[in-house]
Amino acid sequence: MSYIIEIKKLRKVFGDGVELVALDDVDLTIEEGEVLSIVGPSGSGKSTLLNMIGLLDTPTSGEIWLKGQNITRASPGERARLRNKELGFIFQYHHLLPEFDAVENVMMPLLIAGVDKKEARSQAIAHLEEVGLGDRLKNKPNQLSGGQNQRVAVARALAGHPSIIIGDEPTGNLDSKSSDKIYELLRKLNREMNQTFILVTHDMNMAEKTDRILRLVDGRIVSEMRREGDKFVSRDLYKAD
Amino acid sequence: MFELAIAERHILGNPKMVLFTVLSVALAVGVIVVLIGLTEGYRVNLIENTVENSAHVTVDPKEDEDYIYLYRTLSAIAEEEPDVLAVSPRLVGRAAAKYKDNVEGVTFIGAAPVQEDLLLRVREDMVWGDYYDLRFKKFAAVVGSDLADDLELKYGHDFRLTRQDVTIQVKAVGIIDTGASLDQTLVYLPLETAQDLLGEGDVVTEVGIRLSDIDAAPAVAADLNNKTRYKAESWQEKSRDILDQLNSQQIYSLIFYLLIFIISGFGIANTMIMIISRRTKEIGILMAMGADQISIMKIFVLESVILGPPSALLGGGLAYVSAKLIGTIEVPAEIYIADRMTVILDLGTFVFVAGFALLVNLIAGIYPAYKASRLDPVEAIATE
Repeated sequence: MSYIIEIKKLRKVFGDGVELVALDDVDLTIEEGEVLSIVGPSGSGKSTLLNMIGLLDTPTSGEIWLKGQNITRASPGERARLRNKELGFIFQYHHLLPEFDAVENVMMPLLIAGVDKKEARSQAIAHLEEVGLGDRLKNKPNQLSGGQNQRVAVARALAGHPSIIIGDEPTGNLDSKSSDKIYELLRKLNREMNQTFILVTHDMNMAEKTDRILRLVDGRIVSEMRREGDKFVSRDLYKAD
Repeated sequence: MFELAIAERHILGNPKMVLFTVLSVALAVGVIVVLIGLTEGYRVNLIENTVENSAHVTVDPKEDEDYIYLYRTLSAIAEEEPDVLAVSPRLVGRAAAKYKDNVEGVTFIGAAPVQEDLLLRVREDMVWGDYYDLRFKKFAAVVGSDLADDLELKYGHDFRLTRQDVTIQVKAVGIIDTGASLDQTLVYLPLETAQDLLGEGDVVTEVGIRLSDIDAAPAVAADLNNKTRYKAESWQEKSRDILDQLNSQQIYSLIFYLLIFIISGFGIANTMIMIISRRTKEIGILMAMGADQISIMKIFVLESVILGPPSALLGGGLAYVSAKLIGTIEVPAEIYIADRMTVILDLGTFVFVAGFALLVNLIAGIYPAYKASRLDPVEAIATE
């Protein structure tokens, strides 16, 4: 079975004086089209793991395979290219470029990829309509609410149809109504486009809506739950000592 | 090119930063162009002044004498030199002029009007009266325009000249404006009158020679030095010291200009560093979207380069306006050689200076841009 993402014995250590082991020999496989959530207490290494998968950071040791290719030691230029083509990011804060309006913000990854301006614009408009903001194309971030901005950020993550969407607390700053909206949106996209979703979240409500929940403690996956119908079946992967 | 779109938007969104960078470059360009113009203007004024108001060859007394006694003989010898247009024996000295309650130090030149006019074209610079009147009136004088102003002396009035224990009274029959600092001290007298004032008999202090070809002056001076024991000097030799000084001054000026550029460069680099540190998060996001290091660097280099040409042009404009203003200021003789400062603006100079400014702009922007491209995306995004 070929996985879209394979992680082997991934290890990340920070600091040269006092060492902090953020990820402790993590093994993980993810199939295409999965909707996966990663939960755990603060400092458990969730964001670090996400940064590894998202090629924003490099591991201290271990391997990362993306679509059957070992990209652990890829060059900065190659990583940038992969981030542009294969990955879409949604952060806790929308991080939209403040001097550009909604359409221009969504166009940005496409322009970076070298897509023609006209083509990029029409794709961006389509994505904004998908997230329900077709009437807010010319608004700059300071003219939109938090929830609307986050939806623009989702549209931007979708631009170029990346195979993997990564969200680090994507609804962390939103109220429950907006959160639900975003979540429904992500689910819908997953059904339609078969994109893989990997979400880090504190919100167990949201986690329980995904198909697979990984629990991280002290840099290790300690438990995994998979959806079977309405329920989750857990598998203890690691006996805490 | 998305880098250009981002750079443009950054600039448009930050008018204050833009103004600061633009002014910094414009001032550097403007100041340097004006300074170069002033230096050139001074040089031109100096040379013009030296050439126009000096004899091409001047013969001074013999080494062991204070005056030239046999000036008629000397003049005859001088007239035999090739290309000679005029020979004028002159008695030049210092005295005090008094009119009503005003007293000023003057430089008097006693000469035969016809010869002196051939030598230095005196009548061309007259603003009142006729220099030739000095041929027939012994106690007549032509006074420099600034000197007349300082003495509050009116045309046609008498004033006194005193030297040591000799005082004479003369009438101002003319006013002259040579355009040089000499106007502040000059009094032209008939030769005999000046000799009376000096009290050393029928002598002169120098003989001035005008040639049809100014470049022949050194040869003529050398020839006279060979033929007589008098000391002849061409204007080229006399002004050499000043010209040499001007040349060595140029080196200091160049160093000064370089310093101005360096300081301006630091200012620009500082501004760019500030701009970039405010955008750290944005850089991280762009990297997350897949912008590579080269693109990030491109964005910020573009930002510093786009502002270059308009700044340089503004600097040129500032230089132009300043030059015009400076030309209206009257300067005293102690500071400058003419009564107004000349600023020579040359397009070639401006292009060179502007080019240099753009280069400094580029270099100053490169290091901050490079650092920006080397940011770690995770840290950048996490910046507060």
